[in-house]
Amino acid sequence: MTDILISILTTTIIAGGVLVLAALGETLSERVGVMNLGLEGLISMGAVIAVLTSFATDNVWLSFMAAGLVGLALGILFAFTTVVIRANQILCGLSLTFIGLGFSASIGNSVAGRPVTAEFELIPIPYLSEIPVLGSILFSHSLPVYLAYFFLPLVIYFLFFHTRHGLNIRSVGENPASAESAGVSVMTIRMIYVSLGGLLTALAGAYLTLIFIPTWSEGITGGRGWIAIAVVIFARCNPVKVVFGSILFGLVTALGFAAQAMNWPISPTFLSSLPYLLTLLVLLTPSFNANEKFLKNMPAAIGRPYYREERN
Amino acid sequence: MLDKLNKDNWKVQTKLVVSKKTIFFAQLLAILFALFVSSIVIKLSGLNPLLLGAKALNSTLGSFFGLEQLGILLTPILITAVAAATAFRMGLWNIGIEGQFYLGTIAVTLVGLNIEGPNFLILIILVIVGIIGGALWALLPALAKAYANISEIISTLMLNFIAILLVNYLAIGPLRDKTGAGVMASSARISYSLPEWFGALHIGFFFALIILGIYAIVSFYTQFSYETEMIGANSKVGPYIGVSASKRIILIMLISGGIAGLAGMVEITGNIHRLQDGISNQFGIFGIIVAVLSRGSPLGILIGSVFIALVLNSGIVLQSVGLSVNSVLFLTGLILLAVTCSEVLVRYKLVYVSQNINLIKEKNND
Repeated sequence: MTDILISILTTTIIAGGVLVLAALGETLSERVGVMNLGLEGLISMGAVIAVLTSFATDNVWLSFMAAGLVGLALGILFAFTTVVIRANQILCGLSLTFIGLGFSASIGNSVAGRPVTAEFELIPIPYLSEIPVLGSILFSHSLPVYLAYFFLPLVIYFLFFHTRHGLNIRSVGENPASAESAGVSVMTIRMIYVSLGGLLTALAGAYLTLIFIPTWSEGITGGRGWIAIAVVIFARCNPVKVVFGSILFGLVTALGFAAQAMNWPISPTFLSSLPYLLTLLVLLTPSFNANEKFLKNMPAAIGRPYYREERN
Repeated sequence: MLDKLNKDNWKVQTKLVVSKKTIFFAQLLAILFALFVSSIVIKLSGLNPLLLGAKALNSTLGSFFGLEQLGILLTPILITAVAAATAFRMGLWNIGIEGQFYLGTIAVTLVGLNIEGPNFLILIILVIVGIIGGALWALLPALAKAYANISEIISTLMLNFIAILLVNYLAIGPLRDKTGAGVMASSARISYSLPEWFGALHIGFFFALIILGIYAIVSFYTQFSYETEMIGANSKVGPYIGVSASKRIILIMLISGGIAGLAGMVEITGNIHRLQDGISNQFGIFGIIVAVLSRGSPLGILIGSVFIALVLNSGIVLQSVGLSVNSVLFLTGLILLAVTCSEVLVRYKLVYVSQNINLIKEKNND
């Protein structure tokens, strides 16, 4: 029984990592007031680039970084259209999803189904990994898993909430006009963090094909981009809460796997729909309870392009 | 003259009014730009974009079979585009057209498999059933939007996934056709179908044109449409014109969802005849794209739908040269991105401000 539990929870952590990276990317973007609905396309691009690079070079870190670079490029494109040109964020995001899904499908066709051989070295953390049960669930993973769960969330949390620059970032997402009056360049900050958000999201794709499901196939993203957006709403743009949200959603994925593997009398379709149902629930409940504080934690300027002339 | 080269002497201003003609040409330019970029990508991958384009056009427009396929693709896209445009008219982002489409097909299947009667009568019942199915799927997001101001974008999106999984569950599980007649796991064949008139193209095509016609009449000639636009632009207008904004949100969402459900009904009774995985072929999403491209204009919806159907049909040609069918998504995405940007770009103008600045400087010096 404990074996099954450990295996489910380990899968939870590995599956959740994809969501953590993508949701952190979205958090960066939403914190500066830009809603990026292109996650699905970014993840897909990251996934296919990582696979292609790994076949070409057999170097797992190079593959990871190549995905990140492509994500950065797409992030810059998205930031340019939404921040500089100030086009509609929802439509630009949807376009990015299409572009990513379509382009990855075309360039990945030749390697579809081939198993990826390059893999990250497992680095059990000394002492911690020897803790019974918890050790093997939490502390016996490869570096990108630690990166997603410990390093990045803490760094971003510290940056956002404990530095002056972080205050500037958050003010850009809350009230760009005031931020600009205080001498913060709204456009620069938005450009930087929306682009970095693209980078992190593409890393989620690389993580998906290099660590979680080591092969490329069309539709491998399986709606994870949308779930990541749900996680961000769930976590109210807080990088630490993003981790817990992702674990929760990762658990659902892991339960789905376990149910299929062990023929539990639960419909796998029902389990697959749980993340979406959970998101709906999260979305609907607090607002009907009129929990003002909960709503206020979300940056106020999300989705609104900033025109300097419209300051008042 | 050197002044003109100094970028500080130029300023970007936003125009408040842009003529429809300007927007139209900007969109055209954007689409050409997107086609240009994608042909470069095709060129880079070692294929000849012009040849491929000609082949795609030829296979679609040059043969009876191609035109028939075009019509079959065009029908659901036209209807979903009207569904999306209806919601957009009020500024509602009904991303859930896809899900409502699926629910339409589910409702039609459930009723169609368990009812007996003359084809004509049953089809009328199925139309109503499809509309109700789609509308019900839009009800929850509508209520949430109207009474708690919860973003309809995410809620309708999540319901899309649930609807897709629901169809998957029904087609593989309870409704599965055990005789194995279908190509893939699907329900039994619904015995009531829309009559065909142009090869395999069914009369659902006329449904689509009629719905587009109704949409045009309502949006051009009724107070209802005007009120809806007003409230959509500013919900505070509601009390002044005696219309409840929240009730109108619910009504518009239900109409939008109902039309999407009807698209599902037309597709399943006209084309697929069985409930199966991926029955929508992302028609809901393409409907949204058309609605955006056309800015809600009925003629624009017609042109946009034909255009998107053409692009989709080319996917079959792409497959013949070893690319994935989904490669066309890249082109669609690029077009959407270019058009979205063009609509904003067309509002900017560069103004030469050097003289004004010099005047101000002179005044300050005085």
